[in-house]
Amino acid sequence: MIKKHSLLNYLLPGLMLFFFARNLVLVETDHMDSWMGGGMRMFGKIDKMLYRVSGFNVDYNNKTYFVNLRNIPELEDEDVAARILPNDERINEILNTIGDNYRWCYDKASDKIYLGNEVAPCDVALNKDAITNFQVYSVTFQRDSKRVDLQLLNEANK
Amino acid sequence: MITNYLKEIKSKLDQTIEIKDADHRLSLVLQMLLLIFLIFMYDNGYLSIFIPVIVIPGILFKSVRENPYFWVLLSFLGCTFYLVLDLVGYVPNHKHIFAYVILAVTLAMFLKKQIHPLSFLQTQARYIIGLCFLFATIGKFLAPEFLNGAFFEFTNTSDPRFFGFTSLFGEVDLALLKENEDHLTQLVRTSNPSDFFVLNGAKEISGFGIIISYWTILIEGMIALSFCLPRKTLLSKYRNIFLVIFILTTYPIATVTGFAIILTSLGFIQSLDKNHGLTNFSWFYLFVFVLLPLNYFPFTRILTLFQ
Repeated sequence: MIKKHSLLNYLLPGLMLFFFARNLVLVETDHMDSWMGGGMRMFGKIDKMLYRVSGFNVDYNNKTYFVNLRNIPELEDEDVAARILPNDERINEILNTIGDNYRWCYDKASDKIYLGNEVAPCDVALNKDAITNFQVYSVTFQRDSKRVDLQLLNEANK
Repeated sequence: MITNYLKEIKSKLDQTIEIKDADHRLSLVLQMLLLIFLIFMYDNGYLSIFIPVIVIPGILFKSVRENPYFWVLLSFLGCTFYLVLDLVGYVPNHKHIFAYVILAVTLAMFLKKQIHPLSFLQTQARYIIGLCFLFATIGKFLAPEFLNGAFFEFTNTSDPRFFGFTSLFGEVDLALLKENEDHLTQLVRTSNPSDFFVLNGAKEISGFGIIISYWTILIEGMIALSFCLPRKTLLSKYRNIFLVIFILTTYPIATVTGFAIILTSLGFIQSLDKNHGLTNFSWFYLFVFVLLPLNYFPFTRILTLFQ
């Protein structure tokens, strides 16, 4: 008879294999950060969520403004979630949340878009239709030119 | 003479420290693990509050830390935040290992009547280390930038954890590396996705970027094979040598303490002999476990002062 502990020996290796397989699939299909999700693929790719950029574009006065979620502390959870797994479902949901649940404003002096609240009341309130899309970028390194820039990973449009 | 002196110290430690029998060693292992959880499991408000409340009694009282239901409670917290909600918040890979270790201890405690918990944990520790390095090695083959050396060119010149090493061996001015760090911080906070910058010092280290890449693949691959293969195979007998080489060549350079400390603890557990006695490797892992905070000491930066 096989002892119970002999079978249970393989429970954790099975669980580790599951998380590794899920990592392989989600990286290919859903733009997941390869360092995340228990795939143990750290120190492999340059692209990782810590270097990714998520934000949305706002059209105002014939100009497009990119609002980086890293600069909006109130949206830290959405920013982190978008950078870990920027699949269509997740970034569409975030795009709707940003438009429906928050009041966005334009500051003429600094020519910037900011989140309106009690501390920072709106100078010029923006219509939620001004938000056109939500984008997630990864950092890339061009080995020949030693140039570091951003490359679009995925976007959700209105 | 040095060998004799070391043997004398080891035998004195054996007598002094209360790890004479298997039960004491199990207690020591559980205390080591609980200490890690107390120090590193603070990722969110829930863990920051509940982990100390649960873990501290476990560190203080033997009956608590050897109670299977105590570990069920820890498994609930560990699995919820590190395995179930791992794609919602930031959960680095070593936190997954924390959850695996907690689950392993829980199973070991419930199987106490069939098998000594340390025997069960030894096997689990070997599997966790082996699979972790196996996946890491496969991951490196799936990353073209790792194979052509670009990964280390970028990382060694933009990640402050590697600056001491890069400035020492690549002879790159520390100020230029700090400038890279600032540029990268600005880039990820940008309001213009067309922004870019040119990395300082990457040219100077392009030669050893490739050497580090292939050394990493070699040592991680050897750890993966030697830990995953059955114990009776020849390669398995050398597993601790590979792990020690990895620890000695990695952690003085890269300060990744969370991963290093759980790896060292797992190394300690699996290095115990058949009777759960401490081997020379066990003593090494135990010393690394204690001395790991020195990892934060900027050794390589100090060496650059004498250049």
